[in-house]
Amino acid sequence: MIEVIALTKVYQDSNTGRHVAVDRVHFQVRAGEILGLLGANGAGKTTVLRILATMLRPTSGAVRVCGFGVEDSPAEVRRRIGFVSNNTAIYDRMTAEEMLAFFGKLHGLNGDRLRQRTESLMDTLRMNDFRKCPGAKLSTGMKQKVSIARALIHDPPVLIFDEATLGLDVMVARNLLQVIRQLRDAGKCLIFSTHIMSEVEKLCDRVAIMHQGRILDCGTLSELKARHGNHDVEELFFSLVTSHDPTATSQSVLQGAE
Amino acid sequence: MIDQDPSERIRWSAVRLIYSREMRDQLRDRRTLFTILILPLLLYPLIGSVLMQVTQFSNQPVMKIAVIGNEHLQDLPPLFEAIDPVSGEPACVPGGPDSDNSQAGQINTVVIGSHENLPMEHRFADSLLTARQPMRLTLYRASEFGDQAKIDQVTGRWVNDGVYDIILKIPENLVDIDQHENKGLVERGPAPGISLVYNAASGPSNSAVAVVTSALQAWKHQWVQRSLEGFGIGQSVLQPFEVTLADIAKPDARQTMFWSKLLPMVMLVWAMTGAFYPAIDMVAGEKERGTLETLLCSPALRGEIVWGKLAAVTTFSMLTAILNTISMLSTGAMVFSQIGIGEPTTMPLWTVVLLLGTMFPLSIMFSGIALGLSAMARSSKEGQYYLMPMMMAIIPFVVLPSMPGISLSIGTSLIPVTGMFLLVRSLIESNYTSALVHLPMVAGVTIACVGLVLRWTMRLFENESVLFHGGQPFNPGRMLDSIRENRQTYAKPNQAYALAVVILVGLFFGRLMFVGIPDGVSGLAKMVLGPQLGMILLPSLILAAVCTKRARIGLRLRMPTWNVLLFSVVLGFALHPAYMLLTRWVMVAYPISESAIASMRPLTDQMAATPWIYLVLLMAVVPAICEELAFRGFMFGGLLRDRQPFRAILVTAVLFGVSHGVLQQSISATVMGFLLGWIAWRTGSVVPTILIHTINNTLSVSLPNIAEIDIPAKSFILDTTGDQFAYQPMWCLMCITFSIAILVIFGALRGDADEQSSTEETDTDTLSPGRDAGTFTMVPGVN
Repeated sequence: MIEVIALTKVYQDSNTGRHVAVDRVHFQVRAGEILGLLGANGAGKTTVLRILATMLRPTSGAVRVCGFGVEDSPAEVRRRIGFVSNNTAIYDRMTAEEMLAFFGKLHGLNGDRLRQRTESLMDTLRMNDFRKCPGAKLSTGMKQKVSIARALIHDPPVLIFDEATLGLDVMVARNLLQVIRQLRDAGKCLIFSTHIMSEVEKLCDRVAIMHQGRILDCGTLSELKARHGNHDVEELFFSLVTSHDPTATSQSVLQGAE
Repeated sequence: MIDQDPSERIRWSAVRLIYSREMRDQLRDRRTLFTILILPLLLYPLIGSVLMQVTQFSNQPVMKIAVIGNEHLQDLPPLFEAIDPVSGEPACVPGGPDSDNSQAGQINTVVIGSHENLPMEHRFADSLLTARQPMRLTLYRASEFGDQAKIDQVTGRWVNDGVYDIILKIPENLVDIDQHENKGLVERGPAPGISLVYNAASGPSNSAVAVVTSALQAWKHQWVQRSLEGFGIGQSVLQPFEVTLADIAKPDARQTMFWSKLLPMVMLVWAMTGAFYPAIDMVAGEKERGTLETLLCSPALRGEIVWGKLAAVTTFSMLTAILNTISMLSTGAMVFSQIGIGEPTTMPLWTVVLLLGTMFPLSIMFSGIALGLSAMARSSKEGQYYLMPMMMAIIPFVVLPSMPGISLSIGTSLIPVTGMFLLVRSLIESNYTSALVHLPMVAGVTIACVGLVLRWTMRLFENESVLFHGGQPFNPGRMLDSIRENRQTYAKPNQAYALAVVILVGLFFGRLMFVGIPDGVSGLAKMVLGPQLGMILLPSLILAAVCTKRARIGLRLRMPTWNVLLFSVVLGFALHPAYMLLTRWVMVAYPISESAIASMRPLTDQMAATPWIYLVLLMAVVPAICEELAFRGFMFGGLLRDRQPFRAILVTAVLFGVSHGVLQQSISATVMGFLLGWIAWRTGSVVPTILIHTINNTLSVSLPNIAEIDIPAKSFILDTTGDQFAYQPMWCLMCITFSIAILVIFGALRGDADEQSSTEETDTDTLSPGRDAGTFTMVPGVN
């Protein structure tokens, strides 16, 4: 479903110069599978996912979603994915209902089909209480639900969650993970990026560990644990990152302090 | 993104969807509603009512007038009349204005009669003034002041201190001819003068002058009339004819004319404001709120997003302009009729339709610009900062059509915005032929501008670094480091443009600083060296040092082969006659005004007095080195890319021309700039152009000297018969032929030698001839 081959992204910034954000990344995700993209802030996760969603263009390499190249037919790709990130907010001056109708229509849904999708999402995500509330008045959890409903309105085969649990309280985050599991069981192809180890452990079928734009290792959790002789995901992550780049831990501490 | 797939084609249903969402979103925003709907409805009535209040307070200032020498007005036709302080009616004053009731030099006539103790007030005789204005007249006798010097001193002080707005000094020798029978007709010398002392820097004083002058004129007229009647000459002699103005324009045509000048400006400013705020909210605001990314990952294409948002912004732009205009017109008409200035005016419908038709493309253009600026802003706060610069850039085009003397012509029709409004005015004035003739040009320019703006906006929306830049704060130190880390052999295009801006702005202020006529050789040196070294050379050197790996190469300062050097020297001499012809043509086509020549005379005299060697140094060598290093060096290197010299040659030539400041010089400099740019490209170095430039300027300043030297072939080369030195036609022809030959040789050079060698450049690269550029390798197919 998702195929990423030697993906590289270089940013040119007049302020900071040339910066390699993603460096020759390979991975694949199949239908009915959740790939966890694990990495610290600035590892390049968001860049990879934005390229998948065709918002950024790759500098080199190939990305195919459901057989469509992100560079050749970006619109076809966008029609087949649902993208939720903590950067994709909802409109303040639109109600949940209007949001769904707007994005549904952009996806070409109309009449009964749109009404049916809306109602089913309202039910499954339990959004009926606030369907007529403007976005500005919703709580963070409600907003997240609207966001997810917006990404699911066209029933896409591929779903991308970029740091989607950031800033959510435990209850809402737990609810979200449950929704994602249901989606996997429904045969969707999912990518879930996070820097929270426990979420990866609970949710993902396979994990790709990213650091400084590269994927250090990729496989099922048990494979990774066996390969690196470490049974704790957190320890595993740190040993991988440190062996790759001895200064990484101190750097990430500094970055965290900033 | 390449539109190859049918799925990448713009769907108008999606555009409509985005448009209606944006419209609904904006209409739900209280701020937008306020600026677009409520503000125009409230603003003008509020301004109007404040205006009406204020005029009630301020419209009746009392004019303070003093008259010195009141006693000299006796026996003359009445200039003033006394008024009854109680009834305000003219009063009969026994004894005239000069009765002996003065106190401390001031005459306050007291009426003998009903109000005995009240001082009498005066005013200009009723027949002398067209409109009654409140004024306070104070009459003095000249004898109270003593001599004339004392009078001058006191009046000066009074007017200056604002005690009086104006003082009339009546001379003693005013004589009524009529009373002296026929003698007066022949015996009179120069007419005596009534002097008015006023202060031109004071507003009330200026209006007092107008009132008093017209009263004195009327007084003079009555006086002359009375005198002539005394001689038996009637009114008809004084007024053999009267001038009457017959205006064939209908009243509504006059009003249309007025509105067609005023309304476009007002409407455009509102159209800009109306476009700006929604545009900022729709892109920069959405970036800030994170909803832009939501939209970008939906199936909506970038084109659909731009069209949808553009349509919404244009709607608000038009709405704001229309609502404000309606509100302003109706309030204005009401307020003016209330205050009593003019009658309520109405705008003919057909003018309104024309104006709206004009507004529409311009409104799209502003909306595009606003959307683009908004896309560049990281936050709505940053976006707000762009409004003022946008207004400042556009306002001149809006004001230009209403300047006197500007009418629709080929020149003005090519100016964006201006041409459009001039066309509308032509139509309103029923000047259909002119409008029709210029329509293709105006339409072409407008469509081109709208197209360019839309393309620019579209590109910004497809530029990921514009839409997704991380919002890093601007850090000059970090930026400088990054420039230093990323420097290459040549400057980047934006650095080349930066140098151009620095030079043009620097020269503008430099010219302001070094105005006036230089004093001696040192003054001349200051005038030339200041701008040349400080404003042109210094920025070029600094930028080359900061932005390029090695300043010398960044300035394209390479040594060409000796052959190229030799040919450059010869070309310098051979091109000069052509250059002289060019400047002569420019002078004929765009003559310099007499006054400009006169004001330049001291400078030319100064130059003639300067020793030749200094002149060559200041006028030829220094400018050649400085200007070439900047234009054909740093900028040229920065703009030359991928073996495409066109942009570099064109841009540097135009900038070189503009930097000369004077139109006539700019034209010849631009033409020369093209040639120098082409030579700089073919030879890969700035040295040949420095040589050519130096020799050209040297010859220009040396022609008078050369004419004086007695060389055998002089008469073959120079024509010294005229007042200006010129080359003989035969010599010109020879030189031009020779120049073309050398240019052909340059054309055969490996023009890209420069670019190829730059990639293999090493640190051992030294300034040696024949090393890296301009080698005489004949490459077939080049040129």
